[in-house]
Amino acid sequence: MNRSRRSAACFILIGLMIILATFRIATAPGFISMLVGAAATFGGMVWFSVDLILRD
Amino acid sequence: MVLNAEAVVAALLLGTMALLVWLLVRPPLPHQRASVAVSLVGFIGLPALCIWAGTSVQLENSQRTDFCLSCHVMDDFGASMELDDPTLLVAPHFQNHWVDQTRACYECHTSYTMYGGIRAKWNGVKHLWVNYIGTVPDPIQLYGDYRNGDCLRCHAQARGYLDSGFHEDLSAELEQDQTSCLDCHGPAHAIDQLGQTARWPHPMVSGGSE
Repeated sequence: MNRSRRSAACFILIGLMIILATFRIATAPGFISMLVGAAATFGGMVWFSVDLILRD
Repeated sequence: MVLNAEAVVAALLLGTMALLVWLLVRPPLPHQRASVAVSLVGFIGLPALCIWAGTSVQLENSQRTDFCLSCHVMDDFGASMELDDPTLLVAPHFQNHWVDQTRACYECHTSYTMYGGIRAKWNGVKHLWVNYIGTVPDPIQLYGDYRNGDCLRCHAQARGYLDSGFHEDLSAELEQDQTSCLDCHGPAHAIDQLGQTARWPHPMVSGGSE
């Protein structure tokens, strides 16, 4: 796996960790953390997809 | 055995993370097509499922009373639900379980129309923005007039409502929001009575959760 895809995978992994850490916290900061985690995961997914389409 | 939705989502998240770590450290698969398929599942399919599931759980959490009261600007509104006065509006609704105590704010402040839930979520995001980035108005006010429909969805066919001839006379005006329920039954939260009326402490408001 090339370095670009590894970076994208790390983004996804970090995003999922944030979602897991905050998804049961019923407060406004918990909700914001969830949005940040979802955005990081989604960003990593897009990055990975673009890399996959462009290189393969 | 009944599976808890949150436990299922947590297991999904942990499983996806474990698969991702394995995909990062595994040796290359012999077939290119198999490698792409596994990558699509591990890096696109499962994370997308995790985002959907995790967000759903958090959106459910955002309907909870303690979620709304987690912002300090809502303290007085939460406290008003503990006022020990049966003649008030909000406090008896909360204390007598006329609304679900675990999601009391959501029950009365969400319009149960086709887009009511979406509008409530959008307003919630605006609340977060104003709370952390903008300036919270003092006093806090609703975006518009309180809709009678949010009262009538429970009260319209209730005996106490129907037995009152007064409601019957006003039914057309009430249904069209020309006369507000709060004109006779307000004020809703009675903030001005805080400090003057005794409180009936409830863990959902005064700390902790059910």
